[in-house]
Amino acid sequence: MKKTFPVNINGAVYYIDEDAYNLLNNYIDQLRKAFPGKEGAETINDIESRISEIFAEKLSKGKNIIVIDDVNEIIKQMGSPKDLAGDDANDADTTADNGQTTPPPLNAQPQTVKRLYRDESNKVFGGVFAGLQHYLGWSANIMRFFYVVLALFTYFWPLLIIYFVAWMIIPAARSPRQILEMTGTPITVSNVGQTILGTPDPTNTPATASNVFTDVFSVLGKVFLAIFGAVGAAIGIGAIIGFVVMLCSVIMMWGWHDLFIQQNIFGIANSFYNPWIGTIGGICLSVAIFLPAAAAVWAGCNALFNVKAPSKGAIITLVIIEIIMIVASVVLLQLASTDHLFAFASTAATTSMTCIS
Amino acid sequence: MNIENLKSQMRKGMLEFCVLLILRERPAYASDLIAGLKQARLIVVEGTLYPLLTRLKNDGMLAYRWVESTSGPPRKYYELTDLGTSVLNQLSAAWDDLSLTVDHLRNNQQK
Repeated sequence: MKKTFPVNINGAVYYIDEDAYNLLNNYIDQLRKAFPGKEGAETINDIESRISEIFAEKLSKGKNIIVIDDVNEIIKQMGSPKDLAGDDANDADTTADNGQTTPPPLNAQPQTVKRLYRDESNKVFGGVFAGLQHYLGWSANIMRFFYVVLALFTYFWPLLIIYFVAWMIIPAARSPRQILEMTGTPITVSNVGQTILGTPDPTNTPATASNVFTDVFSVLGKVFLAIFGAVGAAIGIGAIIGFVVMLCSVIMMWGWHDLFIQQNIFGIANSFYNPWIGTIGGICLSVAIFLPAAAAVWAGCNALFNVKAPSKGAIITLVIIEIIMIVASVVLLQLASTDHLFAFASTAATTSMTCIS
Repeated sequence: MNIENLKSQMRKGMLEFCVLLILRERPAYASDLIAGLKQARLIVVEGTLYPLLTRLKNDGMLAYRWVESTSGPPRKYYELTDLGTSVLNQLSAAWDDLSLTVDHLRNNQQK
């Protein structure tokens, strides 16, 4: 399945695949560079109208959509920009020296844009490190190793959240142009064609030796994430239930909360001067623990059993909620464990502030 | 400079002359010109023809008019101008000279 758009070539509309469109667009862009000026524009128009004719011929044979092979065929038929530009360049025979009347040689100024993308062809989860490998030139597996070590030293969650955010923000390299930008290969027609045909430049293929490690990382990582996520989710759910029960108790037994605190039902409760704020803070903390735990379980299941991945919108919402919960729990628990009056005053202050704003 | 390059240089030199020759008989669409030139193996890729046509047109040797086509948008219909005809005659004369010289040299060698 592919995306298809309608394109207008010289007044006629054709339906064209996304990759075919990118290649054709690239080709015509390069022709524009090869034939600059007003005269060039006329030439380009003629070539476009010829392309339109060829498309019309192809489509009259019962086809509906222009695909990448058709475009490759056309480029072969029309000639590469280098061939065509070479025609004029040979007349002057001093392309590089005077360079004013002759078009610039195409290979001299390729677009070497390098962008950060996720590399899904070498991914373990989202291809973040595989993408960084292209961008920074460091080994993905070494980065993965340090990431895991660092994660173990930082109680796992912060780095997990960072990974998920990176996964969300960094786009995956899917189109041929994106793949070339990811690897930093100059974008030329032949390159794009090669990428589309699935025979990338040999210099860009990653060392095959790392594949074993990638597999090991992949499987270990998935199992680890699933187990860790399951445990985390269980703790998170438990914490939420505990704190909700406590909140309910506080609501119901508000009158006798002294007793409640004396009995020390939930152990933590007696450390709070204010059970209300403490409980709400506790709930926030539980949610803050629960969300990444659930996300980890989900990601683990996703990796192991092909469970459907959450949508981008859902992830963004969850990350925002997570951040709010972390901040809220820190603030509320801080308030609850300080003096009763101070806590009351701050709550009043915050409430009036929100009312004003 | 290899042999293929030399051959392509020779063909390239003939290209304008041949385009004018094709158009002397009757006006033609670019696609007709391409078909004719490809048959004569004068061009390999079609794209080379378009800059050439634009150049010849800008130099006043060719003119075109838009002709409606049964399938698709209108197409350029190229024809020779008076200047084009006179240039063609000069080129023809030059070709006669050249071919005489070449024939002469080749025949000498064969003897």
